[in-house]
Amino acid sequence: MRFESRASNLKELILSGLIYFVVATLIFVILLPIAWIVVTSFKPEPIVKQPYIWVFTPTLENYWHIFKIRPIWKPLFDTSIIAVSTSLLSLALGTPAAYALARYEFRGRDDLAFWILTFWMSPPVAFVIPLFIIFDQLRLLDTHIALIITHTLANLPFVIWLMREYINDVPREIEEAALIDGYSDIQVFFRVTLPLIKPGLMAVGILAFIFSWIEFLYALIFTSINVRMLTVEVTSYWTIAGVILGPMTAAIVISLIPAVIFAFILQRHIIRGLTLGAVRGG
Amino acid sequence: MTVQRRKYPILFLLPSLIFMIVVGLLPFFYVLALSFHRYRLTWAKPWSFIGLDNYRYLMNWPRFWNSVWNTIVFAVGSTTLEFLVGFALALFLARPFRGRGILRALLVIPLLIPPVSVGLMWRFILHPLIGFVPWMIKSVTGITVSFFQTGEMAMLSLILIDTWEWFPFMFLVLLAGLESLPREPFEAAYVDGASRWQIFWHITLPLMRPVIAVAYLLKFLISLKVYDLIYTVTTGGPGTSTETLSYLIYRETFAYFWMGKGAAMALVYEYMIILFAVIFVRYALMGARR
Repeated sequence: MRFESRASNLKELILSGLIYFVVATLIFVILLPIAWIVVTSFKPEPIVKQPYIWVFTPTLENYWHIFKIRPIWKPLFDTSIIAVSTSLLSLALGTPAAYALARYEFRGRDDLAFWILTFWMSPPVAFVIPLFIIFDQLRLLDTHIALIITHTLANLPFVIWLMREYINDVPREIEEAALIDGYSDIQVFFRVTLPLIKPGLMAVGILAFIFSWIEFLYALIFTSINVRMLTVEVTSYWTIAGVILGPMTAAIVISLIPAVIFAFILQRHIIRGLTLGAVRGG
Repeated sequence: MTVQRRKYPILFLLPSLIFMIVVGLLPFFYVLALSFHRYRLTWAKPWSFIGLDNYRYLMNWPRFWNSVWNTIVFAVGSTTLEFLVGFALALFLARPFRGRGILRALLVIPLLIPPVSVGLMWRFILHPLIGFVPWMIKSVTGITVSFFQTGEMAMLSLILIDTWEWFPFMFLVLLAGLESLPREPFEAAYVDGASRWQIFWHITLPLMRPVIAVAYLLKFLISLKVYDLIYTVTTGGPGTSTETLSYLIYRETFAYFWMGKGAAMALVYEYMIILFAVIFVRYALMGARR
């Protein structure tokens, strides 16, 4: 009896040791490449291309390069404007649509929801070809508007799908009580439902912001000089002509900032977000 | 009692629908029209109607089929690898332990960073001359590894890079799925003396099927659209061995300016994806919901 419990204690110990080994390995695998880029971004120019050098005096010259010689301010500013506008516009358009899909019964509702989703599933490159020609004729190439429109198109379907789930979480009885009190449909939406789904609006808004921040293909095709996106700027350090490695790593580090900031806030919502509401986060 | 209301869903839907029709659906018809024409962006000449010639050309163009094949290899390879890694980890770590919150937050990071940054980061880290990983492998084992020299290696490297970025998605989704399973079937099986393997095979797996379907199919769909990684890591090379459909279409239309041919390819691509989605993804999403 005593022997048995000791054996199971040993088993427990080995198991928990194994768990921490796996967890440590995971953290190592996730963080090592990022850490290596961060380390490289502080290396002085002569040793940037030497992976075997670990100990060196850190320098800010790469950051000085991207902020002064080749200002990253403009891409940072443009990217922020476009990501914030995209996020607000897709919430403004998408939340009412999500409300209709969640609360109204009408024929073809599921088909409509799926039709909306096909815009999220379609490859962006299929939209790029016609929109390039159309934007060209409308003189919209290389403007913020072109990217806000296309990023909203890319985000709207998942905003609608996700907000529908957050609205489904609100008990219908609350809305029905307000209706009995004489609120109209539209008043119920604005005064009852919207305040109750604030956390959902926040999470979905941040996700839309990030998806716009990290988008590349539309940014590459639709903008060049007037509007400069961070993802395009980052790739411009490594061209056929060669690579400006130090500043590139510094620019990559800058491009990671929102992910690091929002990872903690989003961790409970991200699973729901990436599975379009089909799976709930823990 | 039920309250009679909800008369005008169209009011709530209208803004989104107008937006999607104008920005999404009209361009779709534009592409459809374009695919029946010969049109080069750099020419002053207007479109000239050529019927199905663009499509006929594609059917006999090895480079097109090569990119279709590469897209499928990449999507199947990366999604399957991520699923296996993610599911194994989720099964192992579906228990309370210290540091769970931190691990979860760290695992979210790769999903939120720009894919082009992921690509450039790994292109640098795996670079044969200045990369950290080849140097490490060389100094430990003495073997020189070239991650991008042959077509097979380059494809494998892309799949591994994608796995670094996306296995957290599989892990987190499957972990959430495991934790929401009901306890009773497991307790009953335990009482009946079922082995671990039997419990996994006859209880965990069937109960997890809807979640697995959603995770696998959605990631597969995302992989079919891969573009950023190809652009930053291999630019389709060596040769055309990692050229995917997105990348080939981009090259035809915005490097060589063959808009009609590009449009035909984009449509074939789009139809393939939508067909796949209608057959599989639709039911997976509904199945997981309830």
